[in-house]
Amino acid sequence: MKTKNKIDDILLNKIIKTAYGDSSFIVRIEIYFKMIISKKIKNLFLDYRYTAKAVHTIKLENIELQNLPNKEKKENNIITKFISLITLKPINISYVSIVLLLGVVGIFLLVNRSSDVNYTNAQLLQSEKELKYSLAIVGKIFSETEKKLNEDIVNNKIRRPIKIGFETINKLYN
Amino acid sequence: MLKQIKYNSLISQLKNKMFNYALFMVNNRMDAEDITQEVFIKLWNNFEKINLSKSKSWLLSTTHNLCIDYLRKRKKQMNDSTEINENTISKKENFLSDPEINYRRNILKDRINKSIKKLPNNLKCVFVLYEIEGFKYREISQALNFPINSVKVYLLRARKKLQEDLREFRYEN
Repeated sequence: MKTKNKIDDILLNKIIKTAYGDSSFIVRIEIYFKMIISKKIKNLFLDYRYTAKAVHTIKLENIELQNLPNKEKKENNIITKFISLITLKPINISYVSIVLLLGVVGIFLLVNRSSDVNYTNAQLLQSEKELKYSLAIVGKIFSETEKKLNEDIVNNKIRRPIKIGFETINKLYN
Repeated sequence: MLKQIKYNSLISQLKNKMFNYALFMVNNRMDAEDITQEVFIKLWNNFEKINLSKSKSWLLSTTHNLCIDYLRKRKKQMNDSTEINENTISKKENFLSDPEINYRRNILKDRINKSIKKLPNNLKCVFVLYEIEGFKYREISQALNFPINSVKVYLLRARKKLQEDLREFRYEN
């Protein structure tokens, strides 16, 4: 019985991680149940939680840098801010490129909207056939994705961890 | 022009983080300011050579190295009297809340700051970067050149050490 009350290193690490908000959902549940059972664990957790909260309230101080190699005057206009926002991360550049591309395509479609082209029946049938074919490909991809989602992701990544969690809870209760 | 804009955006994004990291490491506002200035001057001089996607980790490792250099150069520890106690305690208080609670909270923050500064360098840098500055394990590992597992172990040790240090204080209050 005494060995059960003793907090080993692994459990202590889990308590600390949970107190600092780092642990996974299952570990958190495990610790909360253990806290209900043992007052010692609860006190230890609250002790760490108190410190963690205090640590997380520490705010960063501001600094005003001088004598930096800013040869130009710092301009705070909208254009400068916009460019700096775009160039901040490479992903932003790709987003802007997509928006510009869509804009160009949109304008192109708008300009060419008025052109009247008369298609023959054969051309219309051919295009319908091609449309059906492409929709069939998309449908196949969707069905494969659904299959993968159901079999692989939902079963292995979601159901199993939940099952393990419930087993842990059952063990704790028993 | 583009270089200037990118440089300014990097500065505005990371200057406070770098400054606060230096402040925790060297424990002196003037030196922390000098280190931060030096880091950003180095950034300007090496701007073409640096991969922008890795600029964050470059800045962090440069700040860290400068702090270590500074600590090596500093021969004697600063006395408590000369130690500048102005690290990270917010001067803005909520005047509507209980003054006693504010007072206690400030004392605790002050004590935590002191305890963090007392940590060994490797534990302190990981703890400050993760808990206070919000960097991720991978970023810290890249910047400080530690394996990710070492970062996790150092963080855990730092948390335990901090707790031990604060236990005494908590029982007094």
